[in-house]
Amino acid sequence: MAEIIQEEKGKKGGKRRPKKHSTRIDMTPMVDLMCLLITFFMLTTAFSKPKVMVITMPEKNKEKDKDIEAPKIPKERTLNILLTESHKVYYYNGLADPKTPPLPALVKTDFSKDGIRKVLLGRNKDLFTRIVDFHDSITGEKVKIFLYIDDSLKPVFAKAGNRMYKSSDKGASWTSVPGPQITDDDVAVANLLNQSPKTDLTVPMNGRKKHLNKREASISEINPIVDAETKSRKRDDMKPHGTGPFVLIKADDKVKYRDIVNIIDEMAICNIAGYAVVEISPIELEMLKNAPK
Amino acid sequence: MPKIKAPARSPHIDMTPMVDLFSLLLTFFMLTTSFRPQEPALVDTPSSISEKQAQDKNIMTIMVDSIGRVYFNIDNGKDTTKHIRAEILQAMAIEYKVKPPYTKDELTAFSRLGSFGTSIDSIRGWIAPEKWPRTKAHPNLFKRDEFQKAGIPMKDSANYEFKYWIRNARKYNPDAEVAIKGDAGTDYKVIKRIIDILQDNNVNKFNLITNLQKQDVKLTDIPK
Repeated sequence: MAEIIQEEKGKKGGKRRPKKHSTRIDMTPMVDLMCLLITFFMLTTAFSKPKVMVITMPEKNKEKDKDIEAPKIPKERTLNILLTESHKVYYYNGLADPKTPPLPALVKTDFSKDGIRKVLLGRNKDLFTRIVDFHDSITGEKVKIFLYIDDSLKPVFAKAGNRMYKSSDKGASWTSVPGPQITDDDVAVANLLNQSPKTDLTVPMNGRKKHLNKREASISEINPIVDAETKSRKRDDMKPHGTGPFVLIKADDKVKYRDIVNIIDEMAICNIAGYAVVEISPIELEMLKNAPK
Repeated sequence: MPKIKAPARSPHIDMTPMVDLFSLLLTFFMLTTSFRPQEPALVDTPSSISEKQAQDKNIMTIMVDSIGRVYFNIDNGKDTTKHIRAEILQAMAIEYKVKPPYTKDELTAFSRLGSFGTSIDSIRGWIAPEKWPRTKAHPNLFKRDEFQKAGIPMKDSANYEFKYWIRNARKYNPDAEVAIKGDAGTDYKVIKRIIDILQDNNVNKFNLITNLQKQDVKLTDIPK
């Protein structure tokens, strides 16, 4: 790497040779500039796009759908969460109707891990277990094969004698599974979704209802209908529907935005299938006033 | 004893590998960069477990800072030839009978800018603060921030500019999604009001911008 330095003192009378330049370029200014540019780009770049939490609000009642009845929720499934100032959370089950006293008692809780989350998990045990199991089965080593069946396929399966694809250590093979594998539960579930359950509580949530159906349908897809394990399961164990809570979130005027986001986040954490942020009623405001401090 | 001479070395270092690496990094950053948008207010968003990313085009962002000032932003959409921002400003000018009408330069400047929180009267000053006439009462009116000290008016019902911004935004870009970037400490009633106005304009799906904060819940957490 040694540089050859041209001897300048040549013979005086000889030919004038052009001065030979080194073939190397001084890269220092270039490196300087690049450093600057890299620093600039590193500092200004926004690597992570902001994360968003999507929430669909119940559609407002409009003149044109005045005649459409709002979907009704069974009283027993309803869990009301009331939010108020200084991050306090109250909840009660069922319906607060001034016409039918006594009013349900408010229970005070908070946003901690053992607060409202415990309540929600307790109420949503069924669905939550199912979803966690499903996640474990696809992320863990144990891979189950689920078969999605709708009514149109039923005759086909009946004809094929309920054959099932089974994988084992020796390789995969089609095996015949004796007995009727497709039960009427699937149909029952579909019916359950279509008919509006009888109830006493009316909440305007036309937009929400749609979403709810979609979500429940996907749960019924998760439900392994033709699965060897299914045989050992009880029939009612196959219906996760109709047991989870329907959470109504209500906030008074003093609530901070953080609390609303927190409670919606809890819904996502606990896999609550149906929830809506709705207006607080005057009776509930009254209840909050007399609530335990 | 003769001294052992270390072989003479050139003081030059070969910078070629370094330059190679630098060019690679530079190219990478130049290609991947998406500039962090300049925001009119500091907003500390609440956290959630959601990992969904906000889309970067076709989105209208409503920012609410900790004291409830509202800022609005909409991008020019996927098809930039439509000049959505300019159209919206034009429509607002007609709505509020702005005189004199906005010049072409002002409209172009507006479509290049981002989030704003001014009333319609002073939006011209916000677009080009250096051209705004200076008064003795307000000698500082040459900075953009001076014009957005109050946010977009939406508090009293007589001056309902925010509503018209939303309406016009929905009119000229009905596909744009709505993102709400609220400060965790802001009052929910401000957000609720915004949601109300949006629902009046047939928006029922909202993207609340949050920080990612993971929560681990196991089956054992279910109370017996």
